[in-house]
Amino acid sequence: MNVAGIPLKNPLILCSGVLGISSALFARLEKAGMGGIVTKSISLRPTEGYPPPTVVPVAGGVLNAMGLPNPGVDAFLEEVGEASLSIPLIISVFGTDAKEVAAMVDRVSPYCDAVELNLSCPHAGGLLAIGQNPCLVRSVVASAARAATVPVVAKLTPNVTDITEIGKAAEEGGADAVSAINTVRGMAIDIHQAYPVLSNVSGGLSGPAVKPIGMKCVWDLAGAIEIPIIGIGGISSGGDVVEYLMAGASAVELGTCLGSGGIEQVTAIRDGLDAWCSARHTTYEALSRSVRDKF
Amino acid sequence: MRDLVVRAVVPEAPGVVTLRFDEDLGALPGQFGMFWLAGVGQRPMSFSFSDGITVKAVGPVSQALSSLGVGDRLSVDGPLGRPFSIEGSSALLVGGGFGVAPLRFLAERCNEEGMDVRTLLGFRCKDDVFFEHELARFGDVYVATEDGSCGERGLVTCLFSAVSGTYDRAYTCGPERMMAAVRDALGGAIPLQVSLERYMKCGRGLCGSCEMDGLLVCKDGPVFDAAQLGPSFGTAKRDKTGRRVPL
Repeated sequence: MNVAGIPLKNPLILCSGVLGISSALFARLEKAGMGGIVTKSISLRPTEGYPPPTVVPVAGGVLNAMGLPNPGVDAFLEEVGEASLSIPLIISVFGTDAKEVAAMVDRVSPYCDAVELNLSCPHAGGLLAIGQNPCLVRSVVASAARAATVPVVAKLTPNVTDITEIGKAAEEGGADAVSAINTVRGMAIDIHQAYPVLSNVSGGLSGPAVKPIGMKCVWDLAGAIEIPIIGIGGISSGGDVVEYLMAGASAVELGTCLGSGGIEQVTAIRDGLDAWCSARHTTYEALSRSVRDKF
Repeated sequence: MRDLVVRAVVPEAPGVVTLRFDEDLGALPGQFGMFWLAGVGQRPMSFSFSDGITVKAVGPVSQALSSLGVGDRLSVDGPLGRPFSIEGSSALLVGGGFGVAPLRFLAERCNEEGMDVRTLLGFRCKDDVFFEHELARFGDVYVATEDGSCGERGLVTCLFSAVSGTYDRAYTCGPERMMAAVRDALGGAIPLQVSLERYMKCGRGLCGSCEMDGLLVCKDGPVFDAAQLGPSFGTAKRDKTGRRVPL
């Protein structure tokens, strides 16, 4: 299948921030049934991220504030060089302004099948400021699109009043697709130690609890923009994928379910999705928007 | 996260204490928890008892943990990870330095299963030795120190000749190069399980910090069959940025 020029093997893509640090893990995820890979978000310089606790299990999912740890673009591209994949590799990048993002896109484009712009990490102050502002989103995406020789995906935050406004800005800036949603801002306090659990105090919520939020964002975006939408948020079964496709997604990204279910969960999700499609004599492409277009 | 209260503090050696908690966490030998002290930090620690850990004051978190007193509170995410698989009727345990801590718990369970347990312990010097008597409750114990101040002089592998014979299983925990030497010394004659340690941001199979050759130490391990491990064993790890660096 082809989504915005990205030749996916199936609609399941590893989301950014989860496991996408090692060429050996890319290979293991491909073998488990992933249709594409988004790497960790990569920056110009190495970043250690926040000290643990960075991940806290909560009802319905997990809260995290990793702080975008990554080895920096030079070391990461060496790692990518060791990978031999037959599924598309999408490198997630971030930077503090349009110029830096464009430089990153220019640097990584030769090594990947697409780039995803992290415009929206809820626990990296400056980034969220880009992702919440349609003017900044338009200009950052435009700079990235000019620098890119591969398709550009803009990852959107749900931490805004109206996500369609941001989606339209990304489309106007020249994004080939959008992915939504990033995590939902949240926090937790340990009442016995009387202290916030995350070292960064607050972070982002993911997992089954955010699925209805992601669904609504995808549904609204599908009514507002023409470019393909990659749905993200709380997917842990083949049925969840079907639901996102019906709402208007062309593909989906998986993350938190790999922590609870292990990498083997990818196989279960793919098999569930394929069983659904074959039982109803339908295809991934035909499922996409099949409910959205009734409205 | 689970909230714990320290029920007992047992000094084991200079700078080494065991903390016993008010609650049995149902941990299995080889499993770990992400132990957290507010305002200090969080780190993975192996269980040395089903309701306790043994701590050596090294970094900020272990220092703060080792200065806790009875009645103090802490939190843990866990037990996590794959435990040792306890099989067969005889076991050889090989521990080095602080890696001896989880082997105490393993020896106890092997003993409860009626297995014949022999334990080899390696330390730098006499002052570092701990759990020697505790482990002797579950089977014969042989000690080596690098300076010869206790037991044989030399590395733990020098004790192998004293315990030659056949064992159904071998288990090792300690410095990774020592464990690699144990693997080489056994030469595959006995199925060997090793317990590994890596920097972990999450402990839950999400961040990838602890990845080695496609395996996640937090979720696929921390206990691995030696035969599962790739070239990173004993040679490479990832730093806090995720970059692969020499061990």
